[in-house]
Amino acid sequence: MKLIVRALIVLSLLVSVTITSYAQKAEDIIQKHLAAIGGEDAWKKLNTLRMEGGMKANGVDVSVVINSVNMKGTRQDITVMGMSGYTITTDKEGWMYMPFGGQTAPEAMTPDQVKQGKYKLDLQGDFVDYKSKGTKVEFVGKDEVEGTEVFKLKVTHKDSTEKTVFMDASNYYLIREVDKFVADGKEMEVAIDFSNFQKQPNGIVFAMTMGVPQGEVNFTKVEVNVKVDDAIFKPSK
Amino acid sequence: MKKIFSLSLSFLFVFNSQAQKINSYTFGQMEARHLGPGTMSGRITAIDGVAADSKTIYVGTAGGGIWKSTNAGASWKSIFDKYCQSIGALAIDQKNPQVIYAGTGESNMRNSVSIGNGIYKSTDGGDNWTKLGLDSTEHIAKVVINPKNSDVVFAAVPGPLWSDSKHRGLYKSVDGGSTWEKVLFVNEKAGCADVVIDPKNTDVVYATTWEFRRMPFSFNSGGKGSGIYKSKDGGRTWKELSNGLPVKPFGRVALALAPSAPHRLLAIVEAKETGLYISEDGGENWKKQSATMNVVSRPFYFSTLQFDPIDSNRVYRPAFSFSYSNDGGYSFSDASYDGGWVHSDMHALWVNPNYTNQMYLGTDGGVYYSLDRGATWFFVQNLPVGQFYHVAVDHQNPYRIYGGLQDNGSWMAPSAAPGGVGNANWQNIYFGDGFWTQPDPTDANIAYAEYQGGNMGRIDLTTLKSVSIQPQQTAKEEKLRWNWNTPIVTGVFNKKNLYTGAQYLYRSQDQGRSWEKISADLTTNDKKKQKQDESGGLSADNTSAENHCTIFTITESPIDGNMIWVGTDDGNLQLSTDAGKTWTNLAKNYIAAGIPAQTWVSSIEPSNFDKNTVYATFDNHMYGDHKPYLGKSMDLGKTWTLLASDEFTGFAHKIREDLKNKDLLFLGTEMGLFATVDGGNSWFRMKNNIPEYALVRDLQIQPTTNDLIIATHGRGIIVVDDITPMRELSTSIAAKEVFIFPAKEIPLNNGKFGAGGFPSNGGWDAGNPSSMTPIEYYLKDRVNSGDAKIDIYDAEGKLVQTMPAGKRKGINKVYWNYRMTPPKTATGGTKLDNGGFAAPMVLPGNYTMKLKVGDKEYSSTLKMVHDAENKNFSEDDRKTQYNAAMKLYKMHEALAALTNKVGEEQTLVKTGDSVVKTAKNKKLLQEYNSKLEVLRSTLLATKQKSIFADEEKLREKISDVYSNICYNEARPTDLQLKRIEQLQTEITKAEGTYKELYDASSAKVKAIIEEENKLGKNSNSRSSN
Repeated sequence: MKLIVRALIVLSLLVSVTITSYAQKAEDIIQKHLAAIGGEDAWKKLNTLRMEGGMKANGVDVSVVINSVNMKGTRQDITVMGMSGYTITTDKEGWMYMPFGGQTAPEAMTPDQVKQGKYKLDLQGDFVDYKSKGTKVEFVGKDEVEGTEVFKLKVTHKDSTEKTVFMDASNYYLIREVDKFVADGKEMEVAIDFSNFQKQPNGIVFAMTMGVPQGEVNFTKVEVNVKVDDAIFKPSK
Repeated sequence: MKKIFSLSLSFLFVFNSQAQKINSYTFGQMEARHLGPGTMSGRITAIDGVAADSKTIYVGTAGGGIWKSTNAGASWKSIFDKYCQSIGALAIDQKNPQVIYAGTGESNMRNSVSIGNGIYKSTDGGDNWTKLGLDSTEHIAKVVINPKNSDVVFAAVPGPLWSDSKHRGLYKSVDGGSTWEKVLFVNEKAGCADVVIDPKNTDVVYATTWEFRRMPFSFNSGGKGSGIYKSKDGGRTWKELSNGLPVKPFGRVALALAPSAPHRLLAIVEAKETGLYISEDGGENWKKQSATMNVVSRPFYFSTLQFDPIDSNRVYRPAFSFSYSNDGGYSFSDASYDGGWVHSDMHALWVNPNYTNQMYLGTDGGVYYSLDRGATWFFVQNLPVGQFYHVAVDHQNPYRIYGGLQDNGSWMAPSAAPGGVGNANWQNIYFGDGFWTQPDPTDANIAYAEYQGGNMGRIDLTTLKSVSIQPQQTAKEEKLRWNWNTPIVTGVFNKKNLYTGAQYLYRSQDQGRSWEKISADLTTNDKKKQKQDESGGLSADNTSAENHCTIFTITESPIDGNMIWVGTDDGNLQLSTDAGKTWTNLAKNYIAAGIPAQTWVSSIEPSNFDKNTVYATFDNHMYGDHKPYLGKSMDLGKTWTLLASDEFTGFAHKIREDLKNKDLLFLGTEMGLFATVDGGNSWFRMKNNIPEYALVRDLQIQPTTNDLIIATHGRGIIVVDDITPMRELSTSIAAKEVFIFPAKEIPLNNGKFGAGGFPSNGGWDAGNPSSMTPIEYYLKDRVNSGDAKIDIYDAEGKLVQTMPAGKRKGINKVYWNYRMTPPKTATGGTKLDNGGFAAPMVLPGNYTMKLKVGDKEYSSTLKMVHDAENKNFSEDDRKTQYNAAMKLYKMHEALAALTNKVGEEQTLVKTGDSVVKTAKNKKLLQEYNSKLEVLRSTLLATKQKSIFADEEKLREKISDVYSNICYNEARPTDLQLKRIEQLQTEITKAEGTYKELYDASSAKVKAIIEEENKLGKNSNSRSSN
């Protein structure tokens, strides 16, 4: 049972698709980063997204399906041993239903959790049109992530929520982000590593693996601009 | 004897043969474990809190960097690990609490104080830091921000302790720290020790200056340069205050201003008669007050004096103990120990201005907080900032770690423990300032420890009773001179030998019951350096910290028991090759290599591989020279080579040669841990979860576990578990794209310890080293494109398990749980079933590990063996366990298949329900479905969902016994084995029930559905016609 709890923590941390488009100096790095992941124009065309994947821990499979509509909502369905739960985040509310340990009904997210998840709704990422979104990006300096030379950027959203991103200096891929937030009176940090970058048919590059210290999710299928019914962003059992 | 297995292919892919630079990142996931502990912490030098939220607290330490809590101290995070670890001052801009200044180099100027390298600023709550300058100041006592104008900042800089300096003084910035101007400078011997801004009229600034100096053998606090100054124009001009103050010279002055009544000032003035003085007119006139001993004691070390933020009659004096006054400093009371003892020697205090009952206190033993204005205190048990001087290990399993700490005695703890090494695992075994603490290699119940000035004891570890064993002066001998940090060490070659040294070297072979003096005076015996009785300056301070011309280092060769090396604090390096009969002073030889004369010989490391080879470190910082000196001799000290590197920072404390690879060396300095894998040609800073500028005082390598144990003076004990890859990783291996390290035989078990009971409910928790053997491989670069995973196959080529593989640059460690993939269990219940997460452990044998990195595959062999150390679990037991587990595994899969069949039939009925219209047939379908559901509800839990309600059906029954058998390291019990038979009977019976139902109804139901489907279609067809 510890495994599933761990898996669910991992997945709930990802809350929704954390697409990694993300401001030598900030603007220059951002432009190179956007170019490296397929170009800003291609990302601007991204409106919906469906991703399928899973994680494995000691041989146990956990499948993950994420459906997202840009700036509207994202839903992450998790299935373990034939049992399913989900996390829904919209710009106004959020729900979690994790029946694996006995939860019997969806539970609402707190306003802080919804606020934190809000920027995950931006499928086009933090760096596409970031100025018009009111996002500030500061180049902190060069740094290292586990021995890989990176550019360290601090991203401050319009509502003052912050994250720090680390871009591989050799290819401008975003390989780590650290989200910092205050939720329900607690200051927290969540670090996510990105790897396994793959170009999709429409030219944009996705990190097909997202990892936190407890484990990682591998995505096997990505579909962009497919039809996603808004109704899935309402809780149901 | 264990063999090393490598089978195939560790050499996998060579892109080029060019030498790859090896550095800390080469060792990737070999990250250090911080043992702390938190039960005794270290010296705290600065505390500041965010007034607006009352729960964000920053703590600066003497040698452990800066720690931040956002929950009033429930948990802490170190936020300064990439920078100098000695902190002198912290200041939060309360108008924008994301802005923090950190002045490095504490200013509690004791003999062991470390140094800083400037002032830093963070504008994001400590996430990132920028160095602002003042690089050569070495010590910064205080930073204050103008409460009305955040761009104006003052930094009080006492400056260097060990030399004159033009960098002393009071510095001011008017641009938020970007530039600094020195606004108060007295002379090169006197710096600025304190600064206060009048919060109501911020042009009024007070500062104190302090003249002080240490030599290795003396300390002086006091001189013409000390004084109290006032500026009325924001620091442009200054007037010295004197009316009512004692006759100069002054020493150090502690100054306080009442924020709620800024005309009121208090000053503890070190003078010939140190006293507490009060001014009610902004320092123009002063009047001496009565004061308790605690208020005026040891002014060079206790420099904190503070008013309550809103009550100008409430005064706090954290010093040797914690005193407080309710009458503006006329009288003082001491804190009670009702909440437990409060560590003596206090240096920092923060009082929450919005709730003045809440206070945080920094002592030589860590942080305390009070909720009753300092009357009683709670200890913060999760700040691992202890200041070790030395560390030793024994040969137990798990081995124990021994060490002595600044002002915190001597302690020991296991390197691993059930549930992880926490505060409760640490045992205090001796008192005072702790230094060398040595286990007796011949008697596991005995250790030796000492406190300052050579006071040493033999300790019975079963009772903690100790016996004083310090050698005594005999007739015709000079008074014995004991270093503050006197060595007491056991023989490396002759385990019965116990050595200690004053100016003479002593040896005992009976655990300190008798001593033989085996040398003449090995020091320079320079009488000019032996006037400790005069030490202290205005306030006498002779605590043995200035004892000089003493033995500081003793080492016996691991190869030749007659060879003894001794280093002194005044520069002598002595060698005896005849067990102490004769001695040769080699000082002139190392001096010839460019190492300064009279420097402290801080460590000597005779080689484990060649008795003529020796390494030594030399520490000259007490003469103002902070360069690291590391020497190597290959001819018994006749000639020396200076090993140098641009990587080195900080003066050198310890050199350690690996036990198995002569080219692997570690160097600990005042500012970092460094390693070389090529015998000292190239060095790199160890960063693997080790603070980059850690104060590394001592190093040990445990020969069985191959752990590197690091004694830090500010971050407690740090352990790099199993450094074997460092021994094996050559530059040619580092040049490969992928390299799989040959795996040793892997004993099959669940790890060394059980899980214990509940999780830790507080304190520092260091966890345990992994007691499972990892799969280790090296990646030249981080894997960005493509995935990485590991598949394990058995000898028949059957896939046993798949797991994600690490992708980081350098060494990766993947922990296989030695088990198969769990069974497919029945689905459709109301809860997840434990059985679906459990899997039998594999049997001993050879397994193939395939590492897939992108589109390339590499493989190696893992030899899994029965754990022979577990005497309660034989190989036969293991086979019985495996067979039993596999029976249950198959039962789970059989049950899953049966449940699926039931589900398929129920789906059929459900589908048919919409087709079948005839009431009779509909009823038949419903009856079939009901019978199926009755059966299904016996197969797995289908009703109770509450986490607190356990509905036990066949799946849960199987899982219960299956999980227990899988995870027990024991032969299944007789009743467990019988239970398997019972459960098999139940499955067989359920399968029979299903067959009966199926045979009786399935074909009939299908026929009905088919028939009514046809009828329905015909009817539809007719209707449409």
